[in-house]
Amino acid sequence: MPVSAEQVRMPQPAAPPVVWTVPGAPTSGPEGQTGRRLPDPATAPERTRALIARMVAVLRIVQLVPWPLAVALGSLTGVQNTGLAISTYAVQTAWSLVWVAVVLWRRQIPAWAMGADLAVAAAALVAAGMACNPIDATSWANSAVAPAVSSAAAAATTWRRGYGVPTGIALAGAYVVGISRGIAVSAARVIPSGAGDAASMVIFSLVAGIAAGYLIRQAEVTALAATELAEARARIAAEESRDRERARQYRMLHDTVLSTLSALARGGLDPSDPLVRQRCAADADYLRGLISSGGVSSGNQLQGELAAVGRSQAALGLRVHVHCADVPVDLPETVVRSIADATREALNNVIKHARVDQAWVTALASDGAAPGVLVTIADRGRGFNAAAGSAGLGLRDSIGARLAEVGGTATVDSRPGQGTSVELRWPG
Amino acid sequence: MITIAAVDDDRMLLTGLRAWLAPVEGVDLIATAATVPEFLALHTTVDVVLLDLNLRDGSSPAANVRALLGRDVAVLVVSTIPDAEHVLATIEAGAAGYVTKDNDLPALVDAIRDVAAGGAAVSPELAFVLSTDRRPERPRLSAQETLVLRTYASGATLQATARRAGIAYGTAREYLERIKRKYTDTGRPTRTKLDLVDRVREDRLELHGLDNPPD
Repeated sequence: MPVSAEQVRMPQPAAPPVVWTVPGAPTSGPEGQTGRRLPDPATAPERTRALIARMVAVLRIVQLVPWPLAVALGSLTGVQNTGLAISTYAVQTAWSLVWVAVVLWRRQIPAWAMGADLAVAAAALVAAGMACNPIDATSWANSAVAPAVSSAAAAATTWRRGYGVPTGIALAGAYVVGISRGIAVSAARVIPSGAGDAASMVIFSLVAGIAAGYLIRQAEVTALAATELAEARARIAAEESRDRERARQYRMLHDTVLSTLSALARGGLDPSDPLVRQRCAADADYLRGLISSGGVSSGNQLQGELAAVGRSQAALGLRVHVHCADVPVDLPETVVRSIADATREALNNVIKHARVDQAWVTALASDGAAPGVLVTIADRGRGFNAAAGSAGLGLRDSIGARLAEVGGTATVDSRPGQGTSVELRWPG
Repeated sequence: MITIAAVDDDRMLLTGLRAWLAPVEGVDLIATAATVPEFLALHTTVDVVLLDLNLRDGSSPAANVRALLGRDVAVLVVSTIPDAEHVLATIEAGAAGYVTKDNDLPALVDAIRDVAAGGAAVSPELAFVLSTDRRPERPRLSAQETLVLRTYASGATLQATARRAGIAYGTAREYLERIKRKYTDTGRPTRTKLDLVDRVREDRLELHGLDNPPD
């Protein structure tokens, strides 16, 4: 039976996941001076919209109260068609309860609910007006006026961009249809109070729209400011980390390339001496690893570490080709250290077992959604039977364990005569 | 015998290269020049030109490759650092391969032999540049081609690359050559009106599939 398992998975003890943080930036929401946790400013627009929706829902419940009160206190005399009046109120109340439930549940007013609510409000205005005595159609006996005002206000907060006022006007129109008999019978008595009601529908929607718009805009400004502040902090932190890495790389350049060149320039060294050549090749590999493709990643900590690890193996006779592309710049320090240590260990194994004088180290952004990295250490040496699991001394302990500590994984792939590849992946 | 020329503006490097290649059987460095026009003025016929990627005369790497291809030679681009943008430009211009200058002598001679035989020299460093190409105009590679390219770019042997992709050794080599050919084809401009009509038709087919066959 052929061996199917191609890769030996390193044992991975349970380790606390590494939290991806930007140094200097707050890791949770900001705290007030009293130590009380303040809400995250980035969600301010969302919370403001939810607050407005709650206020509109409460307003609706309040607007449903007056009519039964008025009826109980004797205004029923204004009602002509009791059946129509009660059923209109009942239907509008039942719908309003559904509507309030939807608004509170969704923490906003869905467009379909707003449309349906306006249709119910308009129909109720016509029906409730018709149910009253013509001259009492503008009194408290008309159950649909108060809820219609709340509908107009709700619509204005939902559709702020200019739809609020036309909605108010449309409701006022439905109201006028409802009280049209009263206007015909006694224009002098019905028109003044009717005009007041109609105007309040329009003006309520106008004011509500302006107020909601102002609140939401303020919340958006707050959220934008908070986001910009967080970004500025992250930029400064990234800049500082790049500066530190650059300073470290300059020191390393001084100790390697610069001192080699200076020694050669002074004369007295034989450039064809194998030791001199080995040192020159190692320095060149270090520079090449740092610069990689086009020098866009100067100050990248992982890239600098990998180049330095490759350089340190040169003294042991191994030339390391380091290639990096798209490596994230803000990897946590502990992750960079673990990957660098694991890489050094993998290169030590190449020296001990592979019987070759070259190895390749490549670093790439990993495919996942979160920013991560994939580092491969490959040689073209003897190889071993990784599927059998017996060889690979040092791989399991020193490499797998190092990666597992920071939440990464290591896999090894090898066959006799086909070289060895060790893949380090973070996050695992 | 493979005759080669080297175009590099670093005199010290040319001297070193001559000494380096002197003992190699079957490869003969017969001409050197600091720029491409200087080489063309020599009117020397060679099989392979080793072309430094970034010459200091300010010439464009891709234009240099095209000028040399006019002389019917295979161009092997070499450089100290794999500057991705220019490496891609030379491959698209029709260079047969790319290697960095840090390769040891056997690797360089292998690459020279490959391109002299009309093949491609896909070094691990070239595979790395191709596999990390994120430009929108890059050629489309199949999932299998991408896997082969990435594995080979990591420095793995071609045997290991073929095994991990579940294909034969020879097939893996063909994949690498096919990928390189796709880049050369990308760089080839649409030459005639007829070509253009063909491309438009291909694009339509790709868009609509065979849902609307002509009547």
